[in-house]
Amino acid sequence: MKVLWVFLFKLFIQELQVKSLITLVIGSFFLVSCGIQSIPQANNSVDAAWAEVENQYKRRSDLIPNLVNTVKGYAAHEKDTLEGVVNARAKATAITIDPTKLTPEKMKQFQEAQTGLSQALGKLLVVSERYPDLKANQNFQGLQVQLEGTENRITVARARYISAVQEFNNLVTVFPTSLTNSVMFHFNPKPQFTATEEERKTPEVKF
Amino acid sequence: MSTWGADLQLPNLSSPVMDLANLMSEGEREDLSKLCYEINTHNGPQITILTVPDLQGISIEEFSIKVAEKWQLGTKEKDNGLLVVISKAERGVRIEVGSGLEGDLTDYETAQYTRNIFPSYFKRGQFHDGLAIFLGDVAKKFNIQSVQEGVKHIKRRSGARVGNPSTLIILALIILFSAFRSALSQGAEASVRGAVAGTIIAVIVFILTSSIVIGLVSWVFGFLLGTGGGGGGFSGGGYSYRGGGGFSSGGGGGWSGGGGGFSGGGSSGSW
Repeated sequence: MKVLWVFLFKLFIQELQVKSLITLVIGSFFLVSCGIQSIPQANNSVDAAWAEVENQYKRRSDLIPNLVNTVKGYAAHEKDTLEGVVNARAKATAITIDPTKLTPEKMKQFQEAQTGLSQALGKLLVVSERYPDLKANQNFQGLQVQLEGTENRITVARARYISAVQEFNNLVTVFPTSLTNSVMFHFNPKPQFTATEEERKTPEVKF
Repeated sequence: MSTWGADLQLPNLSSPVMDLANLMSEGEREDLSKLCYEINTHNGPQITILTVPDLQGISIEEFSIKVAEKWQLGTKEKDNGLLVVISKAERGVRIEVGSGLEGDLTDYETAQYTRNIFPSYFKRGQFHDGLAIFLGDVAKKFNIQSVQEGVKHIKRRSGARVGNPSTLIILALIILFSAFRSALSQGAEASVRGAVAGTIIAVIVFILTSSIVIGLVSWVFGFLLGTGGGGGGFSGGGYSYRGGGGFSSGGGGGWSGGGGGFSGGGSSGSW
């Protein structure tokens, strides 16, 4: 009788060990790779990266009134070019996107507006090459440096957004985390920056 | 951020002066290292200088932000890292400013170094001196006296070509020539003109010769001191902190990033 009890007890313990081991393995697999944590985290970093992109583009827009005024002082009759910049800036600042509502269409609009501003600015800087007094102006030189620094910040912010989106999209589209997403979060993949043909042609702001 | 910069060979951070292009002597590297340590221990930014033989085919802006992302100079709380990248093959230089320092050191301020001051030194191979001037100026912003003292002996050189001796000589020759011509052609007013011209010439000659005389005297002194001290043209023994032993952190202290962030601030130039 005692022997039987001991046997049953051992069997019970063994069963328990095996079961807990299996639960542990499956449980940890889910905790690490199911995406319950990583998907919202990646979502937050995309939001932050997008905010930084908009922030840097805004920084560029903020420089423009000052730049236009400085150029006007030396090259007033370059009216078309100056107006082009002012209009492009108005278009670009009109589009801001809430990071939670990033759609490919809005992204495209945003990019087109910013590219338009880049081109208008490029033209303005080419024109300003013709005015030695303007080029020698301390204020203009300062603005040039700031503009160049801002363009670099935009490049950095965009690169960071691109890699944040890549990570997020992998989580929501690739198994097994995609499963968790379709059950729990229902996130769509985020729109990515695409270097358009037009953009590649945009003159670099270099002095 | 894993995909960004995956195929580049980025160096590992081990010291404040990573002279991979071998642009400076051992002593010069040590000097700059000490200055960087000193600035950092006095709550200044964590400055690191990197020289590379080339940029592996990308722009200096891209290269420098990737190094900055890898090294994470500065602290996580302050984002107060500062990276100076010098590339030998492309003759490029960039100051990458940590996002917490962008207010203290604006793009425009950094451009004074990357476009004027650094090129004027680097062209002559004086990498140590140019960088020391920069470190001294940063130290000044953060009120770190010892570093300012340490770089005091380094001659300031501005990038502007105002004091170029050749333009002065040409100017002097033109004035001389016109003065002689007028003195020869006009008899009556010659004395007045001659006096004016003479004064101008005298002033110019004085400026030129005095600088020559100063140069000669300092050369002789340098020669005398040099034979006494052991040869070097620069009197490198003059650091105040060497005698007093002011640097406590020197030697063993490690140099690694503290999680500081960068967002692309700073400026670039070429030399």
